[in-house]
Amino acid sequence: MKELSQLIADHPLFEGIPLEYTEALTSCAQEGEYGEGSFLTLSGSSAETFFIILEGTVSIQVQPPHNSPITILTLGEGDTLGWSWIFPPYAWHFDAHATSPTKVIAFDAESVREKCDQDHELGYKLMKRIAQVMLDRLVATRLQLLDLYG
Amino acid sequence: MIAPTQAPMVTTPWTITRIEKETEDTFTLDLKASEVEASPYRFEPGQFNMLYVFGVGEAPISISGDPAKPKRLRHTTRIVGTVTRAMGALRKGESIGIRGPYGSSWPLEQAKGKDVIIVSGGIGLAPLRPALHKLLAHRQQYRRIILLYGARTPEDILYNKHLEKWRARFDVEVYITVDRATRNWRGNVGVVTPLVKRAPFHRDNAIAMICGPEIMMRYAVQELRTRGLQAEDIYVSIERNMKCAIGHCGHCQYGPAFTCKDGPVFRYDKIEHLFNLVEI
Amino acid sequence: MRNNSGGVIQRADIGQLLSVLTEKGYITIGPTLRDNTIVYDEIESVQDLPIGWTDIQAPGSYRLIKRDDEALFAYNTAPQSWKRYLNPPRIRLWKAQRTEGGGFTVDPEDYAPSKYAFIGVRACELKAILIQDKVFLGGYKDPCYQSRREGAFIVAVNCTQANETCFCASMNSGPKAESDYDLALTEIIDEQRHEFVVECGSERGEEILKELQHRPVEAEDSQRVDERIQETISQMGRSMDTHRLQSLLASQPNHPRWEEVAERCLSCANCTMACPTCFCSTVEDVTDLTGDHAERWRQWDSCFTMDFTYISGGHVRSSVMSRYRQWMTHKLSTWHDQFGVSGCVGCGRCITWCPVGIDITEEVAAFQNSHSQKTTNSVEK
Repeated sequence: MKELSQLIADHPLFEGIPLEYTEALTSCAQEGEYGEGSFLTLSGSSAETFFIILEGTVSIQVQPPHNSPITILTLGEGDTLGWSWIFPPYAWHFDAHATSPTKVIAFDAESVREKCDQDHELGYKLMKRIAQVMLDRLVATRLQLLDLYG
Repeated sequence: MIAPTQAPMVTTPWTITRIEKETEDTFTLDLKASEVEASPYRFEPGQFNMLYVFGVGEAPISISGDPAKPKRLRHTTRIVGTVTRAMGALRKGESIGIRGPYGSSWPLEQAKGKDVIIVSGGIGLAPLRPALHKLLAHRQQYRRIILLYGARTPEDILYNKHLEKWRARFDVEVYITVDRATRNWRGNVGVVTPLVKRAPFHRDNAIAMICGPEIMMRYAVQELRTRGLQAEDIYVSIERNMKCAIGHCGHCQYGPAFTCKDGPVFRYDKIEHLFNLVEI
Repeated sequence: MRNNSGGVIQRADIGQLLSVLTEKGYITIGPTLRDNTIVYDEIESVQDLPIGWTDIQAPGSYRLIKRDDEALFAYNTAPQSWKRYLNPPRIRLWKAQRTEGGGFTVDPEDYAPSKYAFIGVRACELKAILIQDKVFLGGYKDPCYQSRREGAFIVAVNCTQANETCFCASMNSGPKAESDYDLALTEIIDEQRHEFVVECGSERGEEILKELQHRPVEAEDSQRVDERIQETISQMGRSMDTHRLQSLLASQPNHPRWEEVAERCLSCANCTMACPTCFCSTVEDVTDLTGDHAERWRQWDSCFTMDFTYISGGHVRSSVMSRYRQWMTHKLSTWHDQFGVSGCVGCGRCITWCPVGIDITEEVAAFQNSHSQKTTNSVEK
């Protein structure tokens, strides 16, 4: 098993980030496990963490009233999950539902925010990478909207 | 390249032996010819035939059956126009005209000893199924075989039976995703391109074969390139209007290429300069 | 090539050429007046030729006027070209008959060899025929084209005048036919004579010449031919700079000029119908009233139509810009990739018959100029 610090340093999200910063981020992180069927985030609840998925699959879902949930997107190994923690009021927009036993690295949002506020260089580097994830997700969503195969 | 044995513009009647409804708007026809005509017929995965419906017209349809069983000629068609609609109305025992096979094929020779990554979307799985049949028939000649397949909804997924069978094998990795999930869908949701990011292939020793809507292929290529795959290790199947299938009618031109004979399967680096242009 | 054998035929004896060819079983096709133009059709005698007429061509304009002599071939290009005889506008490919139990049988069209003699093929047109040979006989052989092309007897006529829309000299395809003909005529008219200097390009041509009243070619005759050809070259109203044109056009799919020309282009397809090298076709399936008999026909088509690029998702080239770009880029650039030659022979038909007078040489010049400007700019930097 890799050390947590190594897992973080090796993850593509942090590629090229100086060691001092990945170490700082490691200090805000811990590994976690979610059983099949459990929720990583719940729409409306406070966004205190964000995740990197190490193993398993997680469905981003919307729960319509009086009906069963609809999956919008499935995330898996290597994917980053969550950005509601960046902006007030720090509340999740969607449910994240583990559809198989899932291992994650969970980052404590408040500590990460603090570190970013203290050191804008770290803040900039991290935000830039998260912006890239958001961009990829936006492009994919737009493709999804196109009804390509129609 | 395998080329037709009969006069290139003359169609030959084959008999429909089986019709299978695949999805709401797609169906698969199994065809049989009389022995005399069937004996010389062979095709390579990726090639297509011109299918003629009596009195209505012709449409280019990729061959989607097993190349080891060319006498049971199989095509999956989506109903999009007059000819394919008429084709969908045909019954078992009726005839359909065939001329072909035409065009280039998937690089199964070049893929030997390599990881094979197949990216397909919608009906784009149809021309890749013969490739999968052949890859699996000679499984030991290839390294990893990865199939990424995207469809609009779970109901639009083609070849469920085959996909289940392949999924059950330990030597093929099958990832299926849909744009829009239904409530009982337990599988992956999202476009096919992010799957490329996660696909476990070795970038220095892999070949990718892509078929689907052009926009999907564009993003899939981009993702494969980001993953470090070289342009010459990527193959795409291009759709253009084909009337004659022998490079005489001009309709299918794609830059300098005649899609009917230089394609439909192109090595990406050969068409890279055209791939991102619109209205070419 | 047998350019060294030949003879000189007097105007009075030129009718013999038609009768000898007819005797040998050829159907003689040549220029004749119709609908205020010169068209190619079956001709029986010299009287059918456009005696004393010439054409005045300009962008979007074509007029016939009477000359003050009795010249037979003193015009340039006709709106039609020989492709309508070698690759007819509409042909049947096969017939099919429904049989019992949902089957059918197919009866392919049998293209009996035709014996056409083409009278008055210009150098540019001859080059166009050679280009279409590459299309229809280079890979899969088109049986209809083959049946008509192989038996064809070609009587070329060297141009002794040029129009404002002509630019064959810059395309290396005229005004003098250099090879691939059976006979080539140069019409010489002056105060003393009206005669035809004949060059033989084949054994068949030599045999025909033997049966015609003729005298040997003298040095002065050859000199007169050369003079006429030089004069024709000097009369050409246009030229095309083909230097690096293939790569230039291939590299400019987003050049603003395409939008500019598209603003004028009506997408009417006249240029493609008149062009002697354009070869695109489509097919039409028809049935009789009972629905038991079906036929498949092939007919000329044009890349300027919207339906040309129809695929399941719609039309690939829905804008006029993309269709003009396809036509011109194909003609002058990708044609080289496909067939090893340019698709343009400099006949000028597309300029004359364009209803808004779009001029392919002007379009090429625009690309060449913007390219050389860019090059100059980058040198200055």
